[in-house]
Amino acid sequence: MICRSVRPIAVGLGLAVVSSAFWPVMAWGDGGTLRDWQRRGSLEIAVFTDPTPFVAGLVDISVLVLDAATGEPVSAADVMVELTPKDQSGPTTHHPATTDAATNKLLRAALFELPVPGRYAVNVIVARPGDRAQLQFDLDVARPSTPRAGVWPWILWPVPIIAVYGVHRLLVGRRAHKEGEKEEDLTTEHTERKPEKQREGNFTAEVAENAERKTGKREEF
Amino acid sequence: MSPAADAFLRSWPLAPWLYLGLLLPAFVYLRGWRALHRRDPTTWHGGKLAAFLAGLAMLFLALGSPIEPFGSLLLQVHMIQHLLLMMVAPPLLWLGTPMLPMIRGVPRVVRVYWLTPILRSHAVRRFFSRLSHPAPALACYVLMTWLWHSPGIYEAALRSGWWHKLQHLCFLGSSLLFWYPVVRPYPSRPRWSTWLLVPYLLVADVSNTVLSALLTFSDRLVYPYYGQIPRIAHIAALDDQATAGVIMWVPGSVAFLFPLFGIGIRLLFGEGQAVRRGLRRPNVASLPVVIRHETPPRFDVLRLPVLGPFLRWRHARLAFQLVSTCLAGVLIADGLSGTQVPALNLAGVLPWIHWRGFVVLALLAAGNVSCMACPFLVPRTLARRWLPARLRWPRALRSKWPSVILLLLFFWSYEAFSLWDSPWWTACIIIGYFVMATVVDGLFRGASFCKHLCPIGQFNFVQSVVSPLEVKVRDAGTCLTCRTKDCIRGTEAGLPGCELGLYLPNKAGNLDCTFCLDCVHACPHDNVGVLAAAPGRDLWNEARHSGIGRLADRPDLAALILVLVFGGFVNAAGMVAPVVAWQDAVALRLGLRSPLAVTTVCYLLALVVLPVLSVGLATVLSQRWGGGDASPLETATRFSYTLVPLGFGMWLSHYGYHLLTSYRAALPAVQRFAARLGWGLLGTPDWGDACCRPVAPWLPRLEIVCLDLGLLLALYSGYRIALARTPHAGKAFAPWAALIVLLFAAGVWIVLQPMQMRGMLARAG
Repeated sequence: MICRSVRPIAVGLGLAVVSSAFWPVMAWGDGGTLRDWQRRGSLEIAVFTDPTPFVAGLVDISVLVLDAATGEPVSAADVMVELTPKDQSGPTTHHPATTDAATNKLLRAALFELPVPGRYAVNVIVARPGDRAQLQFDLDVARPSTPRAGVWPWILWPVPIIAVYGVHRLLVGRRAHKEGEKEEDLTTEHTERKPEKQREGNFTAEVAENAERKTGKREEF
Repeated sequence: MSPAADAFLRSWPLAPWLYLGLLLPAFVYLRGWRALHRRDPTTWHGGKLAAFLAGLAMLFLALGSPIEPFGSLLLQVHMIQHLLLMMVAPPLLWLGTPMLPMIRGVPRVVRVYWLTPILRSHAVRRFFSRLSHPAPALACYVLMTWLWHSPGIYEAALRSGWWHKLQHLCFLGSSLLFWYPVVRPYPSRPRWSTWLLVPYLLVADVSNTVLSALLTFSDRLVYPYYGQIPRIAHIAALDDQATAGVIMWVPGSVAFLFPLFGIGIRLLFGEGQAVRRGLRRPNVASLPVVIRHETPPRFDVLRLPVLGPFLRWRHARLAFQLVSTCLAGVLIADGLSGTQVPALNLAGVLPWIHWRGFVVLALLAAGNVSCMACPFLVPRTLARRWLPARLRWPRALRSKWPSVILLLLFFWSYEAFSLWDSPWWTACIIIGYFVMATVVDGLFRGASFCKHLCPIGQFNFVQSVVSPLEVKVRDAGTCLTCRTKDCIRGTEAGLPGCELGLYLPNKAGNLDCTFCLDCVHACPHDNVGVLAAAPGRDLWNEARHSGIGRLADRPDLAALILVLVFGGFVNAAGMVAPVVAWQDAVALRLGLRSPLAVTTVCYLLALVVLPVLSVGLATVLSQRWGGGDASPLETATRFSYTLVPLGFGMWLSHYGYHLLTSYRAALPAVQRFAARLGWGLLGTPDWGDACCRPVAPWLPRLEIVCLDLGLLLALYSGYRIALARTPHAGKAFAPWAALIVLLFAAGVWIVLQPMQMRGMLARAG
């Protein structure tokens, strides 16, 4: 009964396990390395970047906007992140940073694909009613030196499973070997007891003979 | 509420792995606990369940709640997280006495076959017995606490996600070890005196007190990181550090001293009462860790509420087939008369991107659904009203060799003539299929086309070996009393039996099964179901298969498998940039204007020469190392089956890749076709959807996971085959394992290369 009741859950869990690695990352912005932290007017603006080291690909630039007077996060503000290649090799790109994209709701995160490595001028613009502040800094975007490094865990996870199975087979083999030895002992014991059985056989024959003598006909035992 | 508090309450990280990591043990524990609770409700009371689930909840609170993201901004929050990980969750988990429920909760096969040998191992038990002795447990706990709180390492954990995870893992692991001797959950049988726990807990408390005092009273920042980040609500970094120290000190000391008090009381006033009441240890006799019970009925799709009755309906297959036949008609129409740009034509998009993807997904999730809904059999069935269908298929061709040749031709022509690039050719292939199926099955008895010729059918038959469903009798005993054998002969009312000659009581696995369900409809005892089966189990099944015979006696089937396995790798490799560049370079060097010759030679080498050489070498080595009295052909044949899962993994990752990157391409093609027919209801096509899209970072991972699973199943099935054939299974299997790993490495290399988006439009810029 329990099997029936839990089987759908088990199937669901199994499917979830299989599919979990590929669930889209809905909110990823979570800080990372602090790049700059400045007071601009009545605001304190801090910018974090991820990944560390900062390489081309999917990146996260998160912005923390605090009220300089109270230290409390400012909720009513729009944040825009602008990136301009320093060598003028491409256009300026604009990426709105929002709390929806951030895990830590103190932050506003901009998640985007930054395909070209190089030096960028980053301009963070914070606008709220009656106030506007900017924070500028340069950001070096490295070429992903080991683009395939991240896939190694995905390639190698079967290795421990194979190792565990190897240990399992080793233990099973040892146990089977021991049980084989025990069986061998039992066989020896059985052989040694054979005279008793022979005696038993002799005894049966004696009984049969006696019975035959008494009744005059041979009985089958 | 302050904005910071509001932000805190909304900052719930999305952590799928954590959810699964907590839900899975909760599920297994619950399953085991329920079984134990039914047998002995006194011992396995709700308190244990509550404690274990509370322990998991504490782990969730520590790692999956706003505490996690805020820990990097405030040390005091980080300290609460560590407190939950080290002092709250571990003792709660142990109080749930998790060992027996967890063992009982896993499926019986895993418990008996996998866990029992490991748990019964003296070496394993001795290791854990020594590790959980108070001396090493305390040393490990104190060492981990001090090591990870040293400034350099703590800072590294704050700045790196990997170090942070490792820190949490060390904390949790050492704490589980530390609290194990304190709680001593059954079946822990400590040989040391309980009095040892008094200094044990005292030393831990002193260590904790010293560390927390350092944090509390220090006049400089122990972790400079917290001084370099914005201070939320103007909480000074030093104040934050002092608060963290107090949190570590006070609740930490309570966590140590509370059990110390309890243990002291128990030692002073005797634990005999508990023992007398029978509460201290569960009754061993009532611990059903390995319970022998009847095998539960297998999952049966035909017993499902809506789908089951539908599939049992006699015309269910026809309904599927009519839909697919209509779709095939549309593809033919658009392919012959529509635009010849493949990305804009239904015949260029649906068969090569969607249909192939759905076929492999259906094989993975269910079974041979593709053959079940085969459109080519509809005109055949109609034609049989007039055509004789009385001839017997020639004896010389009653094997898989014809389909091997057809498959080789198809793989070669697909690449050589870029079939995916021509809707017209695609339509012609579909027409050819209709004609062949109608003519062959119109002349010959049974399903000769399906069994001996159809390349798609052979692909489905072979790959469905790893499917989780099979058509099978529910109760073998019922078949013993059956006299009519309608499942293969057909009924007197005219319902056909199995056209492929599979006698259900002897049918094993999915080979040659089209999932037509004729046997289901014909069986007078309602004894045929679509049952759950362990994927790949048939690979190491040495029994005689109905309609196929022993797998080791079918070199034609092995050849088919090799073509399909190597074909999977070659087909995918033909689309990756380095291979294409290499082919072009070879053609240039040889002065060949047309790549046809290079393609032909490459396919000949990759689909014929390479499989023969690699399998031949593996066979020679396998026989030399492993011994055995089987002939080389039999050895090669039998072990070739092990490659099926890996080949399927390659097909799955390849076709899945195209489906996931280009699934949107169907919409504009459908809209264009509808507009051509004068139906404007579907809207104007957005041709941007017909362009290739950037590959999401998770897609290569998904492809590698497909290959990983194929690798594991291939290795496992190969080892099982070797076990059944020779006493030196490891040695006999080693060359085949090497071949499997080499193929796996080739597959990983292929999926990590930039792949052509065949049949798609190039994106501007």
